[in-house]
Amino acid sequence: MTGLTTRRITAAALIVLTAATAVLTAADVHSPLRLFLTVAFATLAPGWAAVAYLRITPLSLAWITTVAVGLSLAILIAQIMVLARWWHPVDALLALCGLTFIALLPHLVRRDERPDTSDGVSAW
Amino acid sequence: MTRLSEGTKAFWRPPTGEPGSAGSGDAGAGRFSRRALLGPGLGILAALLWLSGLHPVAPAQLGSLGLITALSPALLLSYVVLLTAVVAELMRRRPRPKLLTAFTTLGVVLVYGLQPASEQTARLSVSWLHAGFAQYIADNGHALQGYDARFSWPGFFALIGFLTKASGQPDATPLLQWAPVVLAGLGTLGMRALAVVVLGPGRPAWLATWLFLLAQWTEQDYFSPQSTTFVIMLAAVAVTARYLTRPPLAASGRAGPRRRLPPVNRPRDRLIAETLVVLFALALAPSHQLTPYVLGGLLLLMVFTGRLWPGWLPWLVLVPALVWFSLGAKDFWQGRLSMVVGDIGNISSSLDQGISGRFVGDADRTTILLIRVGITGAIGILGLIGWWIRRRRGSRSWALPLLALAPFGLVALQSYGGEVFVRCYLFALPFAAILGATALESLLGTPSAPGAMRATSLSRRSSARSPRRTARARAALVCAVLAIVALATITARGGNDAYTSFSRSDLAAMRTAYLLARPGQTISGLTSEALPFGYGEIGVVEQTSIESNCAGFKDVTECVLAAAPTYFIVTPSQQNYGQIFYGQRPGWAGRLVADLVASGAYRVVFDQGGSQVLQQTING
Repeated sequence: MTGLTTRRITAAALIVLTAATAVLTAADVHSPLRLFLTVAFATLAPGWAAVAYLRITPLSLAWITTVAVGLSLAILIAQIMVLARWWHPVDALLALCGLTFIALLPHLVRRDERPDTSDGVSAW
Repeated sequence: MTRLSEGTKAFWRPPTGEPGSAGSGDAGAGRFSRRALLGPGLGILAALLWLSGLHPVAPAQLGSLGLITALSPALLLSYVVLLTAVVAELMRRRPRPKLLTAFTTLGVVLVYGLQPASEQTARLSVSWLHAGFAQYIADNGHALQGYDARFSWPGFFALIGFLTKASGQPDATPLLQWAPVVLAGLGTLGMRALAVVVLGPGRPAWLATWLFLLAQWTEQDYFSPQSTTFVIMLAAVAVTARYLTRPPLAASGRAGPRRRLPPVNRPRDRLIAETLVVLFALALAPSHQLTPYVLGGLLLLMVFTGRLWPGWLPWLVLVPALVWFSLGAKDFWQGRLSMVVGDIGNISSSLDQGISGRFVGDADRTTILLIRVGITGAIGILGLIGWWIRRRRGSRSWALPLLALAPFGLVALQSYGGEVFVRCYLFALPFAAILGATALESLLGTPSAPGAMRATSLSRRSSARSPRRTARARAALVCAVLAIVALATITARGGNDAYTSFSRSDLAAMRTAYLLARPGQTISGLTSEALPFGYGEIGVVEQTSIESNCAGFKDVTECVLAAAPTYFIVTPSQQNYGQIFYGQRPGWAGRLVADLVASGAYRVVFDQGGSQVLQQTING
């Protein structure tokens, strides 16, 4: 599988995850699954949407950066809501879903820029 | 994206047989040869052994040695089989990264999923308390001032409150049980990234990843701010090591704080890396008391050893943490600044609280503590040997050993409630594992070449046997070292499970107390360490433990009557706690309940599976 295909499949999967989180949140569906979906979304989708533009290698570094960016953004959003005394988690999550969705879309059509593997650290 | 310096490339020259090296073909080895199928077969066998050996374990079944006494031989054997598969794969001329990734994922589940899979509910009372803190923020939109020091660093609790509220859940308790697998898995991913960046993608990086995975006895991977911030910190260190250092951390090279060089990559790449590290630092500052300072310290050390190019980066990590401490955590230090700064330089206090103060309890508990010390020492010795080997190979870099030692500087700053050595080990482990991997890699020797071996054995059968036997002996030795560390860590991690794990009945007892208690009333247990305390009603109901006001558990009945809580909970985990730490006899908790009921001050309102809730009577 080429890097381009892998990136498109990952983008498509994360778009589905983002859309599912947004729909379940907007419709206020009560299910324990929703909590796990929301956590998976926050941990993976916003971070990958940003990191996939940066051509980070090796893959393990790209994925741990993805997770760290996702966690950091979510912590900062939550912390800002606490400090500003503006506690609207549903609105904030829907906004994050919307921005992430927009950031993920170009990865479906963007031409692949091959990461530089000349230093031998392209592997996991 | 970038080309790291020539020094790195020279250092990263893969050993013969690694991908990219000359003559690394598996000549003569068919794609589906028996040898190729050995690794996957052993991996599947390990998973099957683990699953077949798994069975439910309740706290009432456990003694002072904890979980290890309740594990089946088949389950214990699964770890040895998996490590055999890993070492066999690493001995191949061309180790298969996808297979090693699958083994590593399986290793995370087998080591960190053991307790979630065998125990009825999430363990460690503090993880339940963290769920309670998050629920308070979810319900109220702010931290509870003056309640607990941890509310002064509310980033993690705000994050969980945000996600649970947005997903319409009453609390975060469904996340607790399997959190260690996810968080330790992410930690292992971070370790893998750092190892590849520092050592290159070959065999040593896999060994470093596995050393980290197997030697993490600290249990700081439960549902907590420190586990989450540790993952972010590892990402920050790995990004820094990848894009902002020259010469790289493991490479030799003329370096000093005044002779730092820009990495051989584009300014755009460095800017992105710096932005990422600053983003991580901003998230760390309000989320944990120690982690941002440790990250800042590690980056400062990279500047002093002449590795880190942007000398201002450590300050951009430290300043948000200090600003948060000054303004955001005012509730914590106001009126008790002497307590915060009083520990600075007081190493004996850290030693007393962190080492000698922890050696309490019966002989089996002492054994568990000695196992923890033993794992720590073993990793230290492996790291030392690895550093010595690197020096013999010509690497004069002090960066890695200093990074491994630096976290122990915390001992001079804080006792951290007696936990400082645990945290020091956790922060040092990634760098110690990288050094230790060099020792194991050296022990493993050069991978054998199946084709070459066959050719040699045909021509000079007798003389070929010796190197093959030596290679197998070396592999067996590495496998034995890893297996001993793995089994010791499993013993150490489950060593407290007699009182830190809970049953569904314990949880039902706690839930009953929450349902019955009215605002302002008190729920108490014998100790807060052996009860899923505080996952609800934070700031509404007072939740206390008898232990702090009951010296030596001498006359517990009198202690309970004097404290007079509205509801009092007794569980098998608390009974075990009394036996382990205070030498109480088996069945002592039952006698306590009988005495309390006989006194007329309490009546039993819940009794299930050995867990009881006592309600204060009007007489009480």
